[in-house]
Amino acid sequence: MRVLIVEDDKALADGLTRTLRNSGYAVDHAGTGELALRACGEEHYDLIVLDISLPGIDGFEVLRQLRRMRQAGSILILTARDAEADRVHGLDLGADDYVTKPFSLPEFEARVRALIRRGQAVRSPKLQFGKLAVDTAARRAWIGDEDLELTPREWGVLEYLLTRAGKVVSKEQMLQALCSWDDTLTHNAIEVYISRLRNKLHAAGIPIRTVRGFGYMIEDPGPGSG
Amino acid sequence: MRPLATLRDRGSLRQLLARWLSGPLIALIAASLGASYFIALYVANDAYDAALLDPALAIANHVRRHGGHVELDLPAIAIDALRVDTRDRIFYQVQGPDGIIVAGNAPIPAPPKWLPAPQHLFYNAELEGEPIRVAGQFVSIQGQTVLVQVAETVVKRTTLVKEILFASALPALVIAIAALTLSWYGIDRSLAPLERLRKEIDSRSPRDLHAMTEAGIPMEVRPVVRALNQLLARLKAAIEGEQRFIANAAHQLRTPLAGLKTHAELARREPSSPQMRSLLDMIAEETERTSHLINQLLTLARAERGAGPEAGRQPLNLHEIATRAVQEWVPRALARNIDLGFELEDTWILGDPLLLRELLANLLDNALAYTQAGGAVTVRTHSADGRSVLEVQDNGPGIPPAERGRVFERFYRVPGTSPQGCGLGLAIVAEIAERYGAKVELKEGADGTGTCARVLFASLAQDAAYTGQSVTPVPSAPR
Repeated sequence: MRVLIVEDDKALADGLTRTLRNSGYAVDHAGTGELALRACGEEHYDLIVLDISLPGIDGFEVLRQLRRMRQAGSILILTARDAEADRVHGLDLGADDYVTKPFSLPEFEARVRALIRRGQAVRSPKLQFGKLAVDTAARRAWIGDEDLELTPREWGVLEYLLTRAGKVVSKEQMLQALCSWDDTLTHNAIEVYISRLRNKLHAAGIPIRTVRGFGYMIEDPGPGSG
Repeated sequence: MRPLATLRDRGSLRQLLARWLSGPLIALIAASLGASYFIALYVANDAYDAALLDPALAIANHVRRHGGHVELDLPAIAIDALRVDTRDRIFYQVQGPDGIIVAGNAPIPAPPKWLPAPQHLFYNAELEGEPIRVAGQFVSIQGQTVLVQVAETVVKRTTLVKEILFASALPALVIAIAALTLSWYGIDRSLAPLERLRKEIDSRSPRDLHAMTEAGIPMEVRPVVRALNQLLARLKAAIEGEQRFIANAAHQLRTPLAGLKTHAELARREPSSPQMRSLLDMIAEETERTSHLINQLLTLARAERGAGPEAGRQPLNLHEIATRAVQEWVPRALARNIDLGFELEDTWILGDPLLLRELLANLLDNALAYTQAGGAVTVRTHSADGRSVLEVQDNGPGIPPAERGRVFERFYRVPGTSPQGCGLGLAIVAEIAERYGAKVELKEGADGTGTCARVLFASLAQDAAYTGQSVTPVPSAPR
């Protein structure tokens, strides 16, 4: 996995570089937009961490040119908390996600992991969530060697939650995503599937959290360990 | 407004103007009445003196020289006919040379010495203590001067003077009263723009520093308004400069802080001695607090910024605002083992989405900070009594009623609580709520425990000015 960090603040760039290297990624650093564009012209990166407020060519321009270059990697932008417009503008220009400064390291790592995993899923259907292994092509999940034998509905709910690990999903969102033309699902049915999944995932130590009055969330279990 | 209050301390403008108007007016009226009196007196004397001279002439025609002396050749009955008057008593006297009284029925005083002695004269005198008017006619009989005097009491004259005086005084009084009344209302009318100015200034919120309009302000007051506007402009520039400085400083601090946080976290992950570990934990914790404080300062600076209360308003659904808080706050609540729940209904208000999210974030931050692990925090949005309600309730230890007013002060912390926050959270809530005319209430929860922070907004449906406006939902959060 190759990651490019585009950040002009040396201390922050150094910290992020160390963090991602410790996680096992190959990390390059560019201090300006020009250097970032040159690096992307020569190498392919799976993830680009891009600061918006860069001297010279700013982050938005880098973003625009990267998308024009058909850079396939995911882009995570670093924005200021009060700059709502920056955030929206960045996402419109094709950024995949954002973190706001000053962010916490675990938060940053979780975003990076989610983006890398999303990129991976396109190329390889097999993903690892802690002790849980899933094959998105075969629509199956295992804990160790044990097949969880999920029904299509259960798989649908689990996949929806796993692809959004670390994020809260509302019941409405799940219903809309899981309902096809010819059938209807109720809130109660969702609760039943969640309850069954909880039992099956118990052994993997992956809890499905209930957000009272709203929906559910699977916490990001971190990088695969088995 | 202070300057007007100071004026009132020194006597009101109205009193000042009234004094300057009524004093001279009363003096003028008094002078005109005095003049009227003398004119009336002159008119009355002029009219009756001629009539008084007639009997004097008639008597004078009958004064004869008979032998050595002068005598009046007129029967008593004729004299009585000459003396007929319905209202005044008439006296006569014929005085020969050397002051010898020839005829008469009363001792009429002689004309004052200083009066010239033409053919006839008129003068005032007293007879038996009663004022009289005398007409004197000199006749020359064979070289001897005889004075015929006819006098009358002054009942007719006094009556006429009174009537004339009354007739001229009445209109003068009416005019005076009318002038005073009109000037009283005139003062009122001309002071009305000042009153409007005062009301406009009074009704302003402390952060509303836009210039006041000069339209409808009288020319004389305009320099004051202009000076006030210049002061407002300078004040606004000073405040904006200060806010810009805070915002810039906070903004500039964020990147180095992000670096510091990252390094502190990385250092904690390195193998180290327990002492080193606890030191690093403290660094990480302090860094976390510093970045929180910087975010709060930025939010506060932003909440204070902006020209009028109308700036940055758009239709918002509180349900949507709360929904957008879910992604950020549920993981934090889970990390603290707090059950964060939602009971959301659609309810629309006018506001700035960023500020409203900050308001909710600070209520949530507060609730999570002061609720014990295993506790529950609930966010509610709904409409009640024509208002839109945003509510965050926790089942933590609650805030004692005595502290509830003070917790909205900046940098205030309830004594005995852990110093987790920077003491700006609820101040920010109050600041943002005030900006939208919303009311903030702090109570205990429905079951009498914990804290329920409730913000009551004017519902959009209640806002007649905006009912016709199309409603654009806030763009949904990126997933």
